[in-house]
Amino acid sequence: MTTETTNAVQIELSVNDEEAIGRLEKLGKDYVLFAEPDHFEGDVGVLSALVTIATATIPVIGYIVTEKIKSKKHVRVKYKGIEISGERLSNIEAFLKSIESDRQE
Amino acid sequence: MISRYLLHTRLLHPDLPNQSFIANYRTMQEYCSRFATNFLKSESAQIPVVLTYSLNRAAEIVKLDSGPVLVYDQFLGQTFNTFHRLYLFGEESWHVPQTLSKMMCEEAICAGRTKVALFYFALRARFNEKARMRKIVSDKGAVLDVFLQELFVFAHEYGHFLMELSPEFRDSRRSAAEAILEAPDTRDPDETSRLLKEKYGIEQSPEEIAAENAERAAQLEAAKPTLQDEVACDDFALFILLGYCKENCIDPRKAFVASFLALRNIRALNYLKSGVSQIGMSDVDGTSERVKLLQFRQHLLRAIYPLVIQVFELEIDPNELHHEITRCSDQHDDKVDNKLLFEFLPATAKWFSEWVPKLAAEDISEFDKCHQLARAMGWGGEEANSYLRLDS
Repeated sequence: MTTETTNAVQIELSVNDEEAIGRLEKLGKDYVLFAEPDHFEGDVGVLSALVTIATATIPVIGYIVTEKIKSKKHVRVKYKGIEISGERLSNIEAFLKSIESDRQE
Repeated sequence: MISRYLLHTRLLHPDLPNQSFIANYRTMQEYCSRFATNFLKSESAQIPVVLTYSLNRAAEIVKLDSGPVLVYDQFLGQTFNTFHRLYLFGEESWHVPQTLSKMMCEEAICAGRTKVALFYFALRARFNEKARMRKIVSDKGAVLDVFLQELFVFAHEYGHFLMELSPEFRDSRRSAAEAILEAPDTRDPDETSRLLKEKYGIEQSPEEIAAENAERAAQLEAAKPTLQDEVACDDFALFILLGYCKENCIDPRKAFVASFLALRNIRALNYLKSGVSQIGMSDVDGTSERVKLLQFRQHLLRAIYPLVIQVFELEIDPNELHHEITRCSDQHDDKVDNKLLFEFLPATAKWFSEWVPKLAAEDISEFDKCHQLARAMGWGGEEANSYLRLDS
């Protein structure tokens, strides 16, 4: 049995997106876990960041997602394995604030 | 770290992976790691392998700060089993909708599309009372087929790990991939035109086909950087299958068939994923960039079968193997791909647009409702176990 007491969201970016990755790196290892997933279907050049949902991180996530949508660059966000898209992705900060206190016990 | 990664990136099943499957996956791990140790002459060529069980059914190498981990998903194995059942035993008209409605529901949940998930959940209920397809468990040959397909995927991921670990291995694999990618397309437009007319009743002139081939070649050229390592690892995975078959006195033709069907089944899964993203939003044709790349990989790997036969000095007639693979391709078209693309997706997309009221923007992504549906189906509980170490 595995227990987890913090809540996190997965953000997928291009490995070349230095600006967005830099912003996430500044949050520090306590908040961000980086992984480079390599799926069987391909998806080459993707970086995954698991970001703890907290007051410090929500604005950063919101900024990155909004910028990527505006500039039509690669970004995917998943929460508990389910993709966040459409209106909810466009208003990601509101969504994250609503689940901030949804901790796993 | 891997536990945290899995907990937050997948919809996990509350149970650990099934004990009856674990032996299979240990076999795959032991075989690949034995090869790695012998090839690289190094005990450090061991990658942690974890087995998980999630609705996301994804096999991947995850590179964490602590090092790479190969994650294999039991549900992906079950997906191969499902497609192989359709391929072998899908005889009745309801087998495809009975099977694929469930898979579309599952993919829609992962994509966060509640109405699509509920639509296919309801559709599945329509076919639930009908007789199910035969199970593979009673057919040793079919059980082996599925095992080899899974070994192909497992070994492919292992190949990526070895490429990271060993520059020598990486260079040799990339050289092989370059040769595979550079091989000329020997398909004859006249022959293709004749076959399209005979098999599918499609009228397409050799000139039109030649133009399509040229366009495809240009797409392949553009995709080469993305394809290079994938093709390298597909070639490596076939090599592993052939080694496994030789060691276990299995007909080596099964290795070629398994590599072909594994890629076809992953492509079929991605038709469904594309369908989920398209339904209610655009024309539903199952295509996507991923599907195109899988198509390239499948053609490229098949094109080197004669060369592999030569290199491994196998007692296989390349022409006979070609005919066998063609037969498998036709059977997969008849039982899986054509039914999925030309019947199931268009019909269900039409019903969806008729039955489901016009989607409002806020209906398109409803995480909490998707999560509730997942919980109702038995996935994503907060107590979910995340993984099992195979070498523990």
